[in-house]
Amino acid sequence: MRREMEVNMRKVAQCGILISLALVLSYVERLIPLEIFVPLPGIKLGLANIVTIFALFYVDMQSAVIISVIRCILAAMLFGSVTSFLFSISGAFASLVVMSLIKRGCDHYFSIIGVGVGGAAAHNVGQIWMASFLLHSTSVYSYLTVLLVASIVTGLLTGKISGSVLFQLNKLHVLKEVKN
Amino acid sequence: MITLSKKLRWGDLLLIAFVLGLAAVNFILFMPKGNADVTAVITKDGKIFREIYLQNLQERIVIEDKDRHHILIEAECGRIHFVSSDCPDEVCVKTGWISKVGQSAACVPAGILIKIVGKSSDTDMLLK
Repeated sequence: MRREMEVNMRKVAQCGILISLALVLSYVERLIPLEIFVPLPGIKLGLANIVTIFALFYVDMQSAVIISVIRCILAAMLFGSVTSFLFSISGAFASLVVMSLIKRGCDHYFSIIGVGVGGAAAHNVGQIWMASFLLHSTSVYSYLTVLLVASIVTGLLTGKISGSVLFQLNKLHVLKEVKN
Repeated sequence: MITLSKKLRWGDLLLIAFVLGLAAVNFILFMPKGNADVTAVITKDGKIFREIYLQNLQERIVIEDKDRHHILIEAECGRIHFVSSDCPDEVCVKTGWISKVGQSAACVPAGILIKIVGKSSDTDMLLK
């Protein structure tokens, strides 16, 4: 009983820390003027996805879902709108589903970079699906081509960063605490 | 416990190839086509709001919408764009001029979509 409560409290604290980290990362990526280098409106690095990948690998699916949902709500309240919330939540769910599927094959077939790329691509598909749903039109899909190509680059980056973070933390043996 | 590999696995390469393939298929299906007989269709919340025949357009047409956001749309010969918008992200304004069949510019917060249509947009009909 006591042990169970301790685990629960640890989980709540972990989720809180990871949500705030994800929120900071989604703020930081707004400061990066990516549109100067790549002339695509609405393109983002998806740095907050690093936190989701971390949660997916070292906490559990439940926490990963909680973290991304609360992050989406808070980010929309702080620097977004209702539409930006709908976009990010549909993207977040699509990427969570795809990333958890890819994670299952992580022992044999994929590396963590694959999780990043799959998550980024699924996020864009989810967003464009939501846009076409809101606008009652399929013509927004013409924009998906460039977004998918861009998502390979951003996914490689976030996957690589997540891999390095997990690798370093593994070396420090701090993840045993997180794992249970 | 998952063993972390720092290197790309073959599954990753396959996944990247799959995403590229998806992008290619998407490009073929929704490719912006050459400008023959272009009309800009402006829809608001899915309903047609205004249609402008862009070919041989003599004067400049400015459309204003103040419903949810203050939006200015400008059309001239062969092309159309969002001039300004007070929506939070301004993706619509950053999209810039559109002129080819299949291209679109959208202001999702205001529910406004500009779509360039022409006689050749049969794939669009097919997918609806």
